[in-house]
Amino acid sequence: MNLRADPDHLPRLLGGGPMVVVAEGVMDPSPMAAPALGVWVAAVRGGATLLHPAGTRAPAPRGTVPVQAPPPGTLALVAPERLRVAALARWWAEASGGPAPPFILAATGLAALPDLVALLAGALAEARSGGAAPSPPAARPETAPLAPPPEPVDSAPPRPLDAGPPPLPAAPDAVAPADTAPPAPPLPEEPAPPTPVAPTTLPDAAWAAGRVLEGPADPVALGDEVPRVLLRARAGGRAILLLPEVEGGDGDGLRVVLSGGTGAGAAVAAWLRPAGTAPADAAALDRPVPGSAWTGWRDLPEGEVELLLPLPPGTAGGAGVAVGLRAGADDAAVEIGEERPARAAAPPAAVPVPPPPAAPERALPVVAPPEPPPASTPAVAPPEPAPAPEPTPAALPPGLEAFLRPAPAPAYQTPTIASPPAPVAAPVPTRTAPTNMPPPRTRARYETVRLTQHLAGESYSHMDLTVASLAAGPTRWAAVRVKLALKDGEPRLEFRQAGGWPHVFRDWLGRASDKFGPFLRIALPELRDLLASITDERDAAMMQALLSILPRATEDACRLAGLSVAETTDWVEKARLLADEGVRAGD
Amino acid sequence: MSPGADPFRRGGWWTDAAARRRQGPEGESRAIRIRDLLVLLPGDRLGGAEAHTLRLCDAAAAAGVAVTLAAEGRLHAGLVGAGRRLLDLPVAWRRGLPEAARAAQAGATRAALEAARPDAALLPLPWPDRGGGAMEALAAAGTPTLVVAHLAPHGAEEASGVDEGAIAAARALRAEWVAVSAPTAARAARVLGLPEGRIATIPNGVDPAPPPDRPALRAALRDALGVAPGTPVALFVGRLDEAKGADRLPALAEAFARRTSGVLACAGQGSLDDTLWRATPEEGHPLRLLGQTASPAALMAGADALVMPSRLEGAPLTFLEAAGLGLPVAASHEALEALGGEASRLAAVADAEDLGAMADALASCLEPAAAARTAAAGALAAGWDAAAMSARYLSRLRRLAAPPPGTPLLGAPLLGAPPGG
Repeated sequence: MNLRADPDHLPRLLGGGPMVVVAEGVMDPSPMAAPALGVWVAAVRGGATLLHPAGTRAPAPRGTVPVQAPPPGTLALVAPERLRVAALARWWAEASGGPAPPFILAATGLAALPDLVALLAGALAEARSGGAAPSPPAARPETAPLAPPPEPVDSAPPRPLDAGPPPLPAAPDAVAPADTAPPAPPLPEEPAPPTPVAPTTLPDAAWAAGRVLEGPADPVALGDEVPRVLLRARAGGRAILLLPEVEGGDGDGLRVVLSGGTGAGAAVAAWLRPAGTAPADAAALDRPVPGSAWTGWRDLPEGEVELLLPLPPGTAGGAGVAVGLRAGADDAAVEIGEERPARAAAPPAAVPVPPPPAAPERALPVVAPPEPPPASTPAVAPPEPAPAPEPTPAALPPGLEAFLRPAPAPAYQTPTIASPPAPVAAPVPTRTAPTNMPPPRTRARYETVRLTQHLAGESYSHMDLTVASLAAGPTRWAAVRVKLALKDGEPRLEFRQAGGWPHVFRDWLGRASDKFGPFLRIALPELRDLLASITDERDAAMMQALLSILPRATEDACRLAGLSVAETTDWVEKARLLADEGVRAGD
Repeated sequence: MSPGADPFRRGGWWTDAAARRRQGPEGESRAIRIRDLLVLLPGDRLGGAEAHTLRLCDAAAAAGVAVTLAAEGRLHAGLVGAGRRLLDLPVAWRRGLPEAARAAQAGATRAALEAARPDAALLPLPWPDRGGGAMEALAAAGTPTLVVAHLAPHGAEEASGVDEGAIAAARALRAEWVAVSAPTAARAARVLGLPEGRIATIPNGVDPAPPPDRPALRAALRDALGVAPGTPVALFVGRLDEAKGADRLPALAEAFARRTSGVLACAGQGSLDDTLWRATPEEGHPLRLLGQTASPAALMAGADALVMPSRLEGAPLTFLEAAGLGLPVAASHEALEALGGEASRLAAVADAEDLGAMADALASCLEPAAAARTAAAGALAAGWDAAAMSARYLSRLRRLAAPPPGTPLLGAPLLGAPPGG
């Protein structure tokens, strides 16, 4: 590890002031910055890791000096992937003889805040309770120390032994088998595994060394980022990747996170095989062996999906882990790895998540049941889960609680907001009645009138007007355009089918046409017969509504045309003749 | 390195033994990388599509991708930014004969490809017919491309730049197709002759807004509008054109004033600038034109309601911004089309052709009953996170690095093959 910094920065860096170290690649770390908290960026340049304050450029390597000791005030290492700070954490643990600072998995400064605040709160609580060590406690897997602490330590254990499991981050897809997933085939009994403590995620990059059992699987990356494997499958096909020799194992569960999934009807699954039984091909995965487990095929959502594999004992010597994609009717693809900024959707670390109302019989899809059923539980699981019981924190083993936690929906799924209380109020009243609204008892009303043209001639004149928002009870017409004309003193109405004329008649009764297109012209003496001939109810209601507001609408149009009082009175009287005829027709 | 020193052993599980043997000290393996990205801007102005594109550029640059933007020189002032290299090339779509426009854009795109030598390209389409030439050149060069459709018309006749050549180029392009809303995806696919479902949807996201100083901003807005402190203020923010329904604003302002004695403030500019100025000649007209404004968020924080009488919207970013600020929204069905059946739970939705109905909806935003909708909209906006959106786009971009499906490479992956096979 070659950790370096600008010599001018060393006093601040080693002065013990609270700070966080952020790997390059965390977008906009500024939300973490505070007057009392320094944010330093770790930038890898030419084999050296350069520490520099956020907001400044990385120094030129040749102008830097080695940082001999880990900056003592460091509260956390923040990175979008563990591997980004792996070397740094390793060096830290070796150089300090203690654990490296807790790791916060976050792609943005904002996403790191909940964990950071939890760390600070933990440190504060510890200081108040007389804890001597300044090391902040770990809050959850993402904030677990990167390096193991020395054997029994007095201060700052990574997690109090009696505190139960840390809350897991958002688990969009808990391990309970999907309704559509086939059940795991029964297998010989295996000893129940020890209580899982916390599932661990394999580093995304580990998969880049996997072995393809089926279909294409390619490690892809943008820029300098750690590669992640892309599984793709043609419609109806599969892609399966195997890590044959996963090392380690202390009883924890194993978590595989997939993201960016596409393809209607696609599904994903993960398999576990004890050491020495890694399948030679994909078909071997269908033949379970003692100690093996699989998650069942799980529907692939559009965002992130998490597959959890519990680990039976005996896998400490190593195991094979496979992850697979099965396409539906469409081509499908998915990345192995998290949709990074989705961390923001995780519950705050300090808030304990109540156990889900899950019935114990909705068991993990593990071959050997991880826990014998409670004595009161029937040996044979009922076909349907029991109704949700009250949350009973003690009912589930701590590890199972973590596994069975219900998944919050991914943040980007739009229709997931809880329904607001249904509005109980009556229709919203308008604050003040529009000035030209008729009294409530009037059947028809309108919003306003627009005048397209006022034509004034010796024997012929017209008002080409549009009535906006004509309404009769609940029936509405957004706009009705009509020409009110006076031909030798006799009023008549004209409707047209042409550009600029809203479509208002469902059943067009016009039989005439001219160079401007079809029209319906109704002189006063013809009005009653025409109204009687309308068979469409909506058309009839429109005519009645229009006629009833015609005098007032005409008055509005005259005002817009700038006519004199006398002229206006004449127009309104002519309009009233039509309106009265409409009333008589309706009687 | 001894196993005990491995920091990842803490959780019990770390990695495949073979993986570590294959990986270098930095965890490298034989990944296919996109190191150079060419971004082509076929629009002739800087609008929402371009702002969205710059956000993706920054996300890619943060991952270590070298980003080159090709755009008309007059747009460059708004494109300058850290980690972006600019090329002055006539990639903007010219109006006129589609064939000539396509040829011109293809030429400019070839020059950009020559200069940038990218591993992949990003082509934002503010309108589906703006990228025919770029697609042609990218397809010919075999450059994998992330195409993002921001807006698409209801009818193909409104995208007259799409001719058979453009449709052929769209089919030939090795692309990840994304649109900002499901309806836009369906319409863009129709216009470009792509199979149904070929264009995926990544909803737009917004940055969480800091809590505004609402009383001060309310007072400032009313002061700027020259109205009394308690006056209801509705707000329109957006381009002043018919797609946004800006032509409806004068009558809507009058109808809103009749109901509430309030005014409608309008922030933005566009093709209807003059029309709207002419429509509001007299002093005291309830439509108040503010022109382009630097901080729509400040206006939103000071207003009582946002109105969106649009005829066509891609992703309703303005709605999300308003929702994030707790501002009630009255909108046309078309404006919130991207929200599907949820829209009426999140906003007062009305037929914007029906002036009275739209004015009623807008006035209803001032009523206490609007609070439930506003709260639901706020919850929605909180979930539509811009960082998450960028991550989803980067995932699509990463996908372009993999060998094209359908080539002989399919089934012969970079990773270790099955034993004996």
